[in-house]
Amino acid sequence: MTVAEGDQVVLKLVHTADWHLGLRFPSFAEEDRPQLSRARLAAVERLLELARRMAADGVLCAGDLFDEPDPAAEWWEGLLAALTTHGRAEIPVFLLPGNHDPLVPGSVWQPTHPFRRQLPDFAHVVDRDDFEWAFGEEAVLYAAPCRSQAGQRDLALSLPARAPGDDRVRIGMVHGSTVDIKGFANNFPIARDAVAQRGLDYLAIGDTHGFREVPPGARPPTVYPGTPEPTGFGETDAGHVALVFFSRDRRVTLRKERVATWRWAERTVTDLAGLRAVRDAEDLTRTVLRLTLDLALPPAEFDEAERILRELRGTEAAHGRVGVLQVQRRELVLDTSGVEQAFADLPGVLQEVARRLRTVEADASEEGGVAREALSHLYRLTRELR
Amino acid sequence: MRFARLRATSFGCIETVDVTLGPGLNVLFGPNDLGKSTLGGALRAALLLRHDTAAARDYVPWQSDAVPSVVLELCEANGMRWRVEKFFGSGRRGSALLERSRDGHTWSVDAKGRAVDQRLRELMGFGIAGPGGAGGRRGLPESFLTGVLLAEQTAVVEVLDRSLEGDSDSSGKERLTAALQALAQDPLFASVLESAQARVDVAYTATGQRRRGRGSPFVRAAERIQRLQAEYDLEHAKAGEADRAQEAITALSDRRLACEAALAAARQALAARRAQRERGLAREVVAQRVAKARTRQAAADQDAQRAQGATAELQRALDALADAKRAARQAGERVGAARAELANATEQRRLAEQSATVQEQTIARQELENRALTLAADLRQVRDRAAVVRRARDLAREADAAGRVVAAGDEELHRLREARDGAARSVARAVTELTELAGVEALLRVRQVEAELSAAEAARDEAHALRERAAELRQGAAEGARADLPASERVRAFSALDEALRIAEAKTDAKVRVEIEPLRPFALRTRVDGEPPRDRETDEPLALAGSEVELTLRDLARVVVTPGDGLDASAASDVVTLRQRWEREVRPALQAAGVATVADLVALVGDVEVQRERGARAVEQASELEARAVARAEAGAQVDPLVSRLAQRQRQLAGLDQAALARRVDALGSDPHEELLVARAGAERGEAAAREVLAQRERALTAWETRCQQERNNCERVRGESSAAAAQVGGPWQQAVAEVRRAYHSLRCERRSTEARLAALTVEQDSQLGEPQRLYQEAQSRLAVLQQELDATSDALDRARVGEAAARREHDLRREQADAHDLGGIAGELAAALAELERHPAVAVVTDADLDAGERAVATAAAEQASVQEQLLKATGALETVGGHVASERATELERALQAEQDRLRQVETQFEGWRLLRDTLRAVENEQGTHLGRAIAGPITERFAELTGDRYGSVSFGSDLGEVSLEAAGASRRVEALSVGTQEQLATLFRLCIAEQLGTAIVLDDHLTQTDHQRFEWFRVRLREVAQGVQVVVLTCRPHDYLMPAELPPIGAQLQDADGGRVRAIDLSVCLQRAAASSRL
Repeated sequence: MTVAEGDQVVLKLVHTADWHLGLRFPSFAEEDRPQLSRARLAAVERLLELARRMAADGVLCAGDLFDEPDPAAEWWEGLLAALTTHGRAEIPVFLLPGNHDPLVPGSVWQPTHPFRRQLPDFAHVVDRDDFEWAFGEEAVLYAAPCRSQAGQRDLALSLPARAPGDDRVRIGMVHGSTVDIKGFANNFPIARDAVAQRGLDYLAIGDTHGFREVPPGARPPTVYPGTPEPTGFGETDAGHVALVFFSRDRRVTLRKERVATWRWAERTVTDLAGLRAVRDAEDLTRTVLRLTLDLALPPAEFDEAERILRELRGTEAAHGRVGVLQVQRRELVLDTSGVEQAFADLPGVLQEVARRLRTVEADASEEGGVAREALSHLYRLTRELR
Repeated sequence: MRFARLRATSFGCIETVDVTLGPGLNVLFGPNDLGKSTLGGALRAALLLRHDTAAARDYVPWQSDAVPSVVLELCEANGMRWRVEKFFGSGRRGSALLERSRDGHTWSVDAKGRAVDQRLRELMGFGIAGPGGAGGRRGLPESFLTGVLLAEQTAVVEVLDRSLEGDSDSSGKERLTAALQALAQDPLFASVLESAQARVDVAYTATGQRRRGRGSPFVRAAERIQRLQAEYDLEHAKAGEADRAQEAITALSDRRLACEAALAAARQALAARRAQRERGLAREVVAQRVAKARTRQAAADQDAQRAQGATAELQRALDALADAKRAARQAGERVGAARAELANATEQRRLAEQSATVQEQTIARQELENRALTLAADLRQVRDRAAVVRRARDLAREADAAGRVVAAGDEELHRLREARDGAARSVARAVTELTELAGVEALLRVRQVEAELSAAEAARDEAHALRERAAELRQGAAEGARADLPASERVRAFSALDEALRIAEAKTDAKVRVEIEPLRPFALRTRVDGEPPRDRETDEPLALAGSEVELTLRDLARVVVTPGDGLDASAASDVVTLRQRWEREVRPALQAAGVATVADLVALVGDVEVQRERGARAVEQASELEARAVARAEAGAQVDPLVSRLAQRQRQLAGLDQAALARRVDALGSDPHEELLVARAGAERGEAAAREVLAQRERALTAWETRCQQERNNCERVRGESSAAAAQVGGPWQQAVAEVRRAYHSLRCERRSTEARLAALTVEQDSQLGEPQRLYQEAQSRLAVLQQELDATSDALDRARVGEAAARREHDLRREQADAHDLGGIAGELAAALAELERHPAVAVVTDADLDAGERAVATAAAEQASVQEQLLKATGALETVGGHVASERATELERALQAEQDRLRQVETQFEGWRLLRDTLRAVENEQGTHLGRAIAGPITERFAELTGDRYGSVSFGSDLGEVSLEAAGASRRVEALSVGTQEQLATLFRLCIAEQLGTAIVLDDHLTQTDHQRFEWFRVRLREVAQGVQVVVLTCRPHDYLMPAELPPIGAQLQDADGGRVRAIDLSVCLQRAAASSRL
């Protein structure tokens, strides 16, 4: 059931969740972490702009907005700035504490926290179990916050049921898991039929990072909008918000809108041609690329491979072609099988050194790897110093 | 390292010298015999010779015993300055001091004594082992480098015969190896090695250990790993806790479900039991209703049967009555006919009887007949009453029986009440026992507190007594001490002085003086001038004076010293001196003590000492007592709290028979509390049992009372009916029966008498009346017969009537009883009860014990469920605390990061291991090609030697340790000895300069080119200045023009002059060196 043409849209909402502001990306190099973290705040700014452009009636933020209940000041200050700069007084923003940032003592959601004190008036924190917000006479929002990082309570079922005669559009917003498997029973489970049980016309939920309807196509819908900016490799359909339109007769139209600017990709390269292909691929400046190298190149190709890697990664003098490059497993190593020729023009003493290192490398023990590394060093040094 | 300044004093032929050296070429010149070589020796001695070695005697000036000394200042390339000062001599005459300074002004000691030489050898690296130790060379130590750098004038070419092999320490060879390797390196090789070394230095220390500083890549990576590991451990622990909490929650949830199922089952079972019990009770009620209905139906049937019987009996009675009435009517008719006949006859006879007699007889007869009729009526009345009386009797008997049942019930009730009372008394006794035990316990506590209080009071009193005693002791000690008396040591001194004075005075007039100096203590008895003998323990010298002195030495001997003549001349003087001392020292003490003699003072001080000792002991004792008092006071401080506690405990005993409690407490054994616990447990068990018995008996009593009440009600009903019957009888039924019997008997007798009298009168009258009479008699006889018949029928009728009345009463009674039953209702009730009974099928009996067991099962299941629920709440709380899925997510992310960081560390390790391996391999190859020092140095020396000699000779070669010098000449390898002396000294000097140049250290040349011609000297002058650009060269020469340009010589009288920008310094030793006078040795 969708809003038919000509139906009057009585309510437009932007539904988002799982911003994870303050996520630290510990598996990335320290120099790459800040831009990954900052990208999350930029995504929030974009979705607020989107709400402004579509003249939404509200922005539902369904939990895990911060990665932890008491994030560093830069993150809540950044969100305050984003709300102040990109929010609109006529578009209320509903901030729901999730299991990553539950409503606990000391959290940013506490009324005494400077974040709360400085929030603009149109930003509303769901800090009551009986939170209710009326969108005029025709719609109402019910929400309940997470009060811990784990819980067995079905917050959706804690929302009030539709009263007889109540024909308003009823929207629920909670944070939790609809996955009915072991290990998720304590992650604020959400009954799949909660929307029906509570007489809701839309259940806005958060937790999963990919956009998902539960179950797909069901009406009234229960929707995970996913995270607006992906947080890792392998997240399916991440980087969206849900645009929700309600007709007067409570029919719902759902639209998935991409707001992410970063793409997360993984490549495995086993030859120089593959590496060249990565270099010559489309614009990777907004890509987080996990590059798994399994390359052992002869000296002739070794230099080119190193140049390509430098080109991808960037140097102090030039930006890299890849936004964030994460090189996995082995780095580029020298194929030493024909290295004698590469050292033929060196002084005898250095040739002797290379010969000895080759002997050690041929030993194929652990020392062999070190010897190969030493030969690579020698090769690079002699190229640099001559 | 270069020499900065050299000073020497009294060193060989040098009186004094003070030379300041420049950094480049220093030409120290002076005439022969000035002491130039001695100056070189001073420099060598400063660096190499131990200050206390015997070899230093060579430097002692001939003309004096002065201590040779030398002070040498050295300067390192980095500006660090060293100063060594040595005074050569043994013992205190010799000394050595090494100081260091960064500015040349402020010096700090680095080493002293023998440590100076150890330190110097480390600093110089000459290849000389530290001083001392086995194999150490005495005198001036030598090594390859000392020969090269500090060679004496006489050892110019010896250096070509030496090698590093003879060094006592490897430091010289290491220095040379390091220096000469640089000489041998290829520039690219050097750059590669330098770069590799630089990378290695980033990660490893000089000893090959991984760097631990902030800049170390391992440390950075390790710190990142450590940080991540710590974070991971934390999150992993949380995740683990979360998993455990999760598992616990899952398990507990399952358990909760199981508990809920168990609870539901238990509740269901209990409900089933209760329902079954209810059904059983309902069925029992219905069964009782059925039984009751059946009983009522049986009673109704019985009453109906009885009513039917009574009806039949009544019918029979009615039939009999009708028959009797008919017979009576017929008899009456016949009697009427007879009476008519009789009346006719009577008329006939009346006619006949006109006589008076007959009339009288007739009147009498009529009276009798009337009486007979009256009696018959009375008899009927009596029979009716008899029936009433019989019913009253039956009811009375029934009432009696009911009364007996009630009585028996009351008796049982009484017995049950007694049993109940007995059980209640048992409970009361148990309660009393418990109360008493509580009282006993309270009393025990009171006694305990009393004992504690008593102990505390005793402690308090004891503390008080101890304090008082301590105060007394202190006071006694204070009183016993006398501050005005001298100390015992002084008193002993006074005594000695007094004794000395006495002896001295005795000496003045003594004729005999005996002085004894004991070699060891022995027992001695003395007697002076016949005075009583006196025993002495001689452990100090003893002097005796008198006219005659007798000494007894134990049992060995007696010595009698008889008077002599002459006086001790010094005795008088001694007396004066001693007297003055006595007056000055002893008398004031005696006066202060208030005694006359020293002996009194000794005695007094002795007494006071004793008192002091006692006082001290008393003070010690007082201290101990005070300490004990403090301890006891602490215990005594508990008195007030204990009094309060005692009062509180005693209040618990209020209202209890404390005497009895005391007896019970006294009867308790050694462990009253244990016994009390046992007794209390027994009493509690007894009370519980008694209460159970009481409850049982009360239940039995209540049931019996109900039953008795029913019996009483029945009895009352029967008695009411009996009373009503008795009231109808008008008195006791026994009396009424007797009266009825008596009345019946009397009436029957009277009737038989009346009838007899009537018959006799009739006979008599008949006899008087004749025919009328006969007729009359016959009529009368017939009438009589008929009357008798009539009576019989009347009797029968009466009986029939009585029977009918009785039957009617019985019938009415039975009918009433039968009619009292609501047969339809009873039947309906029975049918309904039976129908209901059918709806209540028979069930097993559920006892109270079954219900209790069921309730216990429910309670157990509920408790289990509550416990599981509580655990579940805790586990949920734990999970909420540790973060659940959030912790797992973070732990996974951190594990991934940790893995990546560990991979990174391994890469860094491999990378730097590679650098190290490269560096090591570079060095290994370099060492193999560069440790042959001869090869490293042969090139430049050959080159310069060829330059010097005009290519007269081929290449110069050296052994690996720089020995075995040879050179090519005329196509063959030649030994150095084959060269001329001059060429040898030139080659040796080239060799020495080359090594000094490579080492970057100073060199001393002591007139080493004496055999060199002018041309070659010119070459050397240039060469020396080249070398002096990098290292300090000190030349000692008597021919300064060989080395210096004329303009470079200092003006006459000047000590020195610098030239070539300070790189050349000319020093005139004849100015700055003061040679020792009258020297003829140098």
